[in-house]
Amino acid sequence: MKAMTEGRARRGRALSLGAGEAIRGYLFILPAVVLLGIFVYRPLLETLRLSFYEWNMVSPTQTYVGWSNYREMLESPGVRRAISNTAAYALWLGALVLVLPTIATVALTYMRTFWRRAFRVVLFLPNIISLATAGVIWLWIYNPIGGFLATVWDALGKFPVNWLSNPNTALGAIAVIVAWKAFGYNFLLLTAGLAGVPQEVVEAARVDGAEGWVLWRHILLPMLGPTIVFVLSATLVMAAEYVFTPIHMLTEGGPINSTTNVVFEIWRQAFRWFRVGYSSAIAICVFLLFLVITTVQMLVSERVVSYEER
Amino acid sequence: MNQRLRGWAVLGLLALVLGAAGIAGAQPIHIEYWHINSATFGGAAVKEAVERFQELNPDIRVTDRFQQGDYGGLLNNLQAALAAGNPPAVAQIGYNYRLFAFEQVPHVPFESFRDSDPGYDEFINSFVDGVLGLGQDADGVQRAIPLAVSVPLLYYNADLFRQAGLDPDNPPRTWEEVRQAARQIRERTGQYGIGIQITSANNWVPQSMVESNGGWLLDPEGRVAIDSPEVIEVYKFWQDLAQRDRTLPVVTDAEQEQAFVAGRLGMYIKTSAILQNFAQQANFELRTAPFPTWGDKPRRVAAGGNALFITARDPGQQRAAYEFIKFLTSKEGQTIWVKGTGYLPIVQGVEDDPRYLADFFAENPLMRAAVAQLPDAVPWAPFPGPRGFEAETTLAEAREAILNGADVEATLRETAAILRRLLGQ
Repeated sequence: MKAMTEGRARRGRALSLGAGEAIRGYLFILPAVVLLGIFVYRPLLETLRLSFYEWNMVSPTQTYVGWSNYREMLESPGVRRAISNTAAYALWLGALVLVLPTIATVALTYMRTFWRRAFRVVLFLPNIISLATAGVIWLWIYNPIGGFLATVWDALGKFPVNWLSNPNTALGAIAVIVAWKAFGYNFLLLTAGLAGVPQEVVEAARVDGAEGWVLWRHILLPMLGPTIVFVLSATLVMAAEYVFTPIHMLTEGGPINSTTNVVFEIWRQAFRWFRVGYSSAIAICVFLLFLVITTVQMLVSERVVSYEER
Repeated sequence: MNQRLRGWAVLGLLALVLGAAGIAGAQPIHIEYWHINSATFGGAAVKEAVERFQELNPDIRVTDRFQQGDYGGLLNNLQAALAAGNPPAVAQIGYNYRLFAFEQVPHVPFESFRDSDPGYDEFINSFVDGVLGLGQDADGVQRAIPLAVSVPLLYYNADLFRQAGLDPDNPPRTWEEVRQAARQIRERTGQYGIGIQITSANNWVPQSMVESNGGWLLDPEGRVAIDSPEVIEVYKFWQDLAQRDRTLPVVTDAEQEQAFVAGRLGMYIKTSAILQNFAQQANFELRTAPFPTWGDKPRRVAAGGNALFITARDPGQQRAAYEFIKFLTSKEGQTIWVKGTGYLPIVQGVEDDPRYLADFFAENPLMRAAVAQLPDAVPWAPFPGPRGFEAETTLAEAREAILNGADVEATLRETAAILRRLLGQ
């Protein structure tokens, strides 16, 4: 018992730093802490405070309303719609910018060097275009009156679809715009991840007779695990945040609320309808929701990433 | 809260001191003017007016700042600037936000300069009848000065009219004639016949359609009236154009605009404010006609546009802002403005005066249809109260549902119930 205590004390001393060193350490993290404090945590606390008030952004009076903003939110069909739409965006984007780029990455490994390089450039190019510009480009593509898609549809003898004004198609149409832009970036990440797989592991697997599907299934895709998990988290962020720009530019959340999502709902409540308190309450709940999702994701990735060197 | 007030007070004092120092050193006073006039929406006219004003007032420098996102975006930025203690001196506030701004946006009422300016009454009396009301609150206080008044117009493509066997010299006057012409354009040319300006932020054109049909979105007492027969009739007609005739495309407003400019839409009901832009862009013969009526019922068009608010906090800047607003709404200022946009002249005696707009109107027959409607203009009626903006969007969503085929009467009934709740009725 005594020995253990002594041992712990010794270890503690060995790990503890001199006072000067400790201060230096704090000084090093100080700028980051101050900046995070000012630009992240203070606004977060302010949002939390505002979520219990009613305020229109300019009025000098903020009225305390207790939990009523939160109660209203639980009953609001608009918020429910925003959450389910965000999930729908995540599913769309999951398919378009996680599964497709993974397939493309695999496909490219079977190409000759020249074509592989050419395709990398072609697939990455849309990524350097801003979402606002992408929105305008896609407005021309989607426009059922003389737009690109309508012309193709017309040539096929079909009646043009009102992509952005039909509640059944608008959400998918917005997701495609974001996917079109984000595809190249995810593709690049996955390609880099694949290039990072140690050749000796692949060779060893080959020696053991692993080829084709077996090699992908048991060696390459598992070793891509960390990259895929990262791309998955980025996709969730896109479903919440990136889609805002095309929603704001092209559909304003319509038709009939079919393209709204959580970030757009927060923005619209605060900056179009001037309900800052209510908007803050939604923001806080979305924050907590994403906190939970991110935590789960981290726990899962600990397991998935098991192939990574430690 | 206290701290914030103290911060404001300190900033205000600082501005005062700096302002005073400026006057003492005979430095020019700098003011900012916030507007929504992009390069394709009257931006050049703003620049020209600012330059002319500076020539006349060498002691005042004006920086004009374009604000993204229409009147809503400008108001958001203004709120942020006010919170940061750094508002512009003059800001355009859309008429749909005017009730909100009167009550909630800190500003100096224009009227407060009455006693210090001998020319005040003459200036106030220079406006066309009724226009000044757009800058007055319920108690009749002149808080802001109207700058821009636009009305919805019927734009049409004369080339498509001819191809369809329609006479471009006899454009449709009633909605029934619009419907027939649209069908003929669809049948003979394959193009869409008619588009109607839409947005999810407000119900400007619907208000004009409904009031021309003898109904109200909100009746004169402010009560929700969108489930009345006159309103149902209007929305049913609109739906028929889209769903039955298939002459009206169910698309976003940006798409309608693209289609019209590209010559793929025969008629387009849209604000007169964009007239000069259309005139430059269209590669077909563009013409305009007054907003259609319902049979013999009188035309009622909601006045769109904006009023100028003095939002400066420093007295020197406030005074400069006052002078700047007076110039923008003077005969000379209005001449520059009307020529560069498509807004209607709102001061008396500029239309027929060769020193001002007489030549321009003679050369631009497109403007005539707009000006002819000035007597039919009624105030744009924003939905009041803290949930008013939400109510506007809710009604716009009902329109989206209706154009996509929802039952008109049921949709408007349900929406009326929601609106009554939002407006506390």
